[in-house]
Amino acid sequence: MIRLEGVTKTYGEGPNRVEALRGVDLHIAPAEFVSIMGPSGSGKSTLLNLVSALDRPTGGKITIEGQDISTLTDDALTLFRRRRIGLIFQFFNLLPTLDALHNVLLPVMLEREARGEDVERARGLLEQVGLGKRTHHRIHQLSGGEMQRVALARALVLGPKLLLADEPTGNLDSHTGEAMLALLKGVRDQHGTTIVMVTHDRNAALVADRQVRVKDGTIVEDGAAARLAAGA
Amino acid sequence: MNPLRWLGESLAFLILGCLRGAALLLRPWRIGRLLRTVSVPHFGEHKIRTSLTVLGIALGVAVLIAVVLVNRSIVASFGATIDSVSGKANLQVTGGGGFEEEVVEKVRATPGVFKVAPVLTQTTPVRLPGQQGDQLLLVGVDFLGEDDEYFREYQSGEMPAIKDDPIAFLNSSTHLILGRKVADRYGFKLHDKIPIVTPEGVREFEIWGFVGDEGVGRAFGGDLAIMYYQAMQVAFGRGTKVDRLDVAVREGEDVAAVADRLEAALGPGFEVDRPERRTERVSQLLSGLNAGLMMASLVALLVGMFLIYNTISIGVVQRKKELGILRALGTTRRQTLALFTLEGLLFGVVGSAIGVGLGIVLAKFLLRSMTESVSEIYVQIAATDVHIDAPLLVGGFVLGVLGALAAALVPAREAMRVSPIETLRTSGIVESQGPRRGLTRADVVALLLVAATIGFLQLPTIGGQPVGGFSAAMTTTLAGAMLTPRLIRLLMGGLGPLAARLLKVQGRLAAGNLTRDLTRNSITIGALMIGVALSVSIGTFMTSFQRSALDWIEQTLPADLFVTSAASMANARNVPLDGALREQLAALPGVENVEAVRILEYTYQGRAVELLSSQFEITVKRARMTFLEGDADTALREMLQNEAVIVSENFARRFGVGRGAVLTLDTPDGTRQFPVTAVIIDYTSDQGVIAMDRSVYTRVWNDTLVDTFKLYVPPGGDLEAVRRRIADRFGEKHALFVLTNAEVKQEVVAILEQAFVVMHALELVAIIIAVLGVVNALLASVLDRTRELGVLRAIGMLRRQVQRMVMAEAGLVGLTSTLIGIGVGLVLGVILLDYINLAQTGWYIPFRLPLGSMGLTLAMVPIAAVVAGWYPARQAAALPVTSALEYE
Ligand SMILES: Nc1ncnc2c1ncn2[C@@H]1O[C@H](COP(=O)(O)OP(=O)(O)O)[C@@H](O)[C@H]1O
Ligand SMILES: [Mg+2]
Repeated sequence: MIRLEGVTKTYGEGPNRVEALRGVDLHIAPAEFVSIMGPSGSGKSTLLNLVSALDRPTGGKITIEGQDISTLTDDALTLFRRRRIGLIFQFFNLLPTLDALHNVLLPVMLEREARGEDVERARGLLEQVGLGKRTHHRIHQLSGGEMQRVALARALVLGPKLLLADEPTGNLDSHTGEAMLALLKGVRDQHGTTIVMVTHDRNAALVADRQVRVKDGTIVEDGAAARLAAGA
Repeated sequence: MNPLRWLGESLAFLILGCLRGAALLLRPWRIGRLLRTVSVPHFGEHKIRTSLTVLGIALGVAVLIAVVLVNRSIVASFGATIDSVSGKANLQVTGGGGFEEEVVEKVRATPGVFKVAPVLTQTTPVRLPGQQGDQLLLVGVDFLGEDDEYFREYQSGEMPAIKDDPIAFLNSSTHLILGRKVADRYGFKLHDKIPIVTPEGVREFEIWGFVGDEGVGRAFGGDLAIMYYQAMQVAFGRGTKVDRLDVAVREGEDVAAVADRLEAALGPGFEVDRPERRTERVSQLLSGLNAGLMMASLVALLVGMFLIYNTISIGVVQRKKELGILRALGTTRRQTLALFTLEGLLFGVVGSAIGVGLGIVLAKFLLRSMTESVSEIYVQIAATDVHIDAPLLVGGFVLGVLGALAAALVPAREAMRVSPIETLRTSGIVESQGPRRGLTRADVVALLLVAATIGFLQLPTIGGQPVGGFSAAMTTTLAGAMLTPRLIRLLMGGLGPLAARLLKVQGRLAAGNLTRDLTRNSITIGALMIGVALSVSIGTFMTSFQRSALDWIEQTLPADLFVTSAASMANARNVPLDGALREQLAALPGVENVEAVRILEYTYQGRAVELLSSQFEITVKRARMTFLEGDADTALREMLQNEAVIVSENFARRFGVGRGAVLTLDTPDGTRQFPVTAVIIDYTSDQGVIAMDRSVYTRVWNDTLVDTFKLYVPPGGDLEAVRRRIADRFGEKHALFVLTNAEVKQEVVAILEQAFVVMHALELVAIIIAVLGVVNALLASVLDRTRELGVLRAIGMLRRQVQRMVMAEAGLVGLTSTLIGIGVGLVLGVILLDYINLAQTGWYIPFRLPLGSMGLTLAMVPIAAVVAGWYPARQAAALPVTSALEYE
């Protein structure tokens, strides 16, 4: 599903040069739920951004669903993200000028005119994340947890095989955070979606099948060892 | 490097350098240090916004200064001509459009008079074959008489010899002394022949000498010729009449007392005034035009103020965090207020300083166009140099600074309210503002402004200027600006779905953004709206006036051909024709009838009105004049039997006379009474027209010259053949212009267009300044929405979709501005027609919808806005997704 080989990423030049990733090899199987942990500044977001096709690696190769994304043009990357990947961020996921339903429909609308069946699908997704009654609410009328659930529904609207989340619970209280994680797991179980989630939170990490620990731009622990380190 | 970019960057560098320099000067004070730590880095970070804002104020000040300088230069040029010709005259005697020269003796005999000399003047074109010749000012003086020496200086090598032995020079009425400047331009040498248009036709004048660029030679920008006044009387069919007498008062005598004595001695029919009075009259003649241009440039400045307002309030919002910290560190509220006011002041000082320089340059460009118009409509002017007037430059500068200061105060007060805990509150999200219920403060202000407008419209004119009307125009504009947020919401109700349909998701998101930050967008849109409103209101005036004037020509001037000499129409530029030409024209085959019209510039109660005479028997038969008072048959009878006159609508209104009133007019015969028999609609002069029958005029004024011959061709006659015959027989000889009715109409339209060229330039500047505001607001909006744009890009929005979205937003800003601007502009148009123009010209002009300017603004302004959106859109599209998504 996802394959990283010798991936490096450096920012800046000269004295400002930062090696955010220093040769990362990672393989993630379809329908796997992987969490990425590590101290602040260790390269988690950088890693996720590369897998999200938001950025290109400095070196190495990234293949997603058999597609080498290291060499795609900006437009191709954008279309790849839109069609193949669902993304969720820590905050500010949604557009305040649209209601919940249209936020969910946004990826569709970027692709083409939304049709009746798209609207039905979006409603269904909102229903699924427990917001069936909030379809026409404005964003500022929603709570933080509700916003993240709208973001989840949006990430799923074009039926991606891959769902990527950067600290999706980072901004939520533990109760709503747990509900969010349950939803993510549900999505994987139901649709077989591959999920990669960056998190700070051990409990969140433990919901995943597999834990990867990053430090100083390299993977230091993977799988059981990381699980152990997480305290399970 | 792209030259445009290079220019932009140099300008930004210059402007930022000035701002830094000014901040450096304030270093000794605490507020100066604050400025250097808070404002200067912010300016540097937002170079484009800062530069455009300063540029906006600079343009506003520049047009204001240019307009005033141009007006000053024109009046000064007229004054300079009077000064150079009249030299040391303390007083001038004028009367009734020229009087008999024997009056000289009466003047000389009046106690207190030291010297007196006659003067004739006439402008006429040099008529070289195949050339559109320059206008020449002919000055007829008694330079052989003793008194003339006292008044005038001639820098001429040949004149002393002529004076010693004048016989040969006086031998012909076509000898003259030519200005050195014109002579050099045309390459004329001594005793060369110069062809000049006279009432008798084009005649060759012999050059007997040259006069240098001193004294009289300076008049009319040096484009002049001096003649012996009696020769000029002959050459120009003036009989034994002169235009005026220059009078010098004996030393120690009170000038005013001598003037009174002269008036008493000469009796009614003469005016005795200081020479400066004539300059004042020209100034008054131009006051309407000038007031209009002043208003338009003030509007441009107002738009510049909006720009400052928006820039500073964007600055405040973007520095809320910083301000919170400063407040927490002990900066007082008063210092915060002072800081942002000072930012406005800096913009104002640097912008106005640039504006002053720019204004002088701009004035040079506008002067030519204005001189052309003024010469065409009012008086011959040869203004080529911008008259730089230091107090005026200072005034413009101060106005710019004050405007900037006033504009900065509102956002500065906002900044003052930022609390020390503001840092904790910023979310990075620009929240949607829900619709406010009930009356907002802006609504209340708008209502007050509307009330003020109604009040202003009730005010009488002050010194002939519709101050109330101008004030009402300003309050209407501001009321429109205050209502802009409401109107944006209203319009977006319809435009939003339309944008979503046409531009898909980009349109939908763009529409959402417009109402999201309503405060900021209202200022941007308000400014652009004002530019559009200015344009539409002028358009309303022009369309309405043009329609009325053309209808008037259609009805009142039904002649088939119009014949004039030296200029295409009877205006300040034509040279009158010999009345005897009438018979010759009438004798041409295919001509049914010829009507002779004389239009004499005439001073009535201190105003330059026109005295029109024509053959009313013919006029009444042919034309359908619109009588506001009286009727055609009675009028004709009264005019022929009782020397009655008809006055134009604007004359009646301006001087408060109507049917039954009696006008006392100065004539070469002394004053005479002329009963008013009717009031008609007439657009010959914006000052007013007195019309009488030609038989009365020629008898009383002893003047048989003609300005226009109106020819009637029988139905089915061959107009072109008649025109060709006239051209063949008399065209070259008299430098004739033979225009068909349709061409006269075109000419009127062309003169109107020409008169409004400068006005259109001002409209354009106002719109340009507002468009700079669109760039600024969109750049800020892109910056504030960085995170949001990152999300959009992350979930799959293509760069070109981002670009289109921002440009769509710009387009919507342009479209809403235009729609609101058209509404406000039409209201302004009505005020312009029914109050301002009515007061200035006395013409009541019915309202016509300006479809042309409405269409033009509707097409061009949104496009201009979209173009302005290009750069911010590119910035938005170029944002790297990952850094846009980063959190601090
Ligand atoms: N756009 C960027 N430019 C320069 N340095 C960056 C950029 N993004 C991240 N970095 C640096 O790369 C390193 C890894 O950052 P990041 O992937 O955000 O870490 P994490 O998400 O684990 O906190 C950090 O040292 C960070 O400062
Ligand atoms: Mg991170």
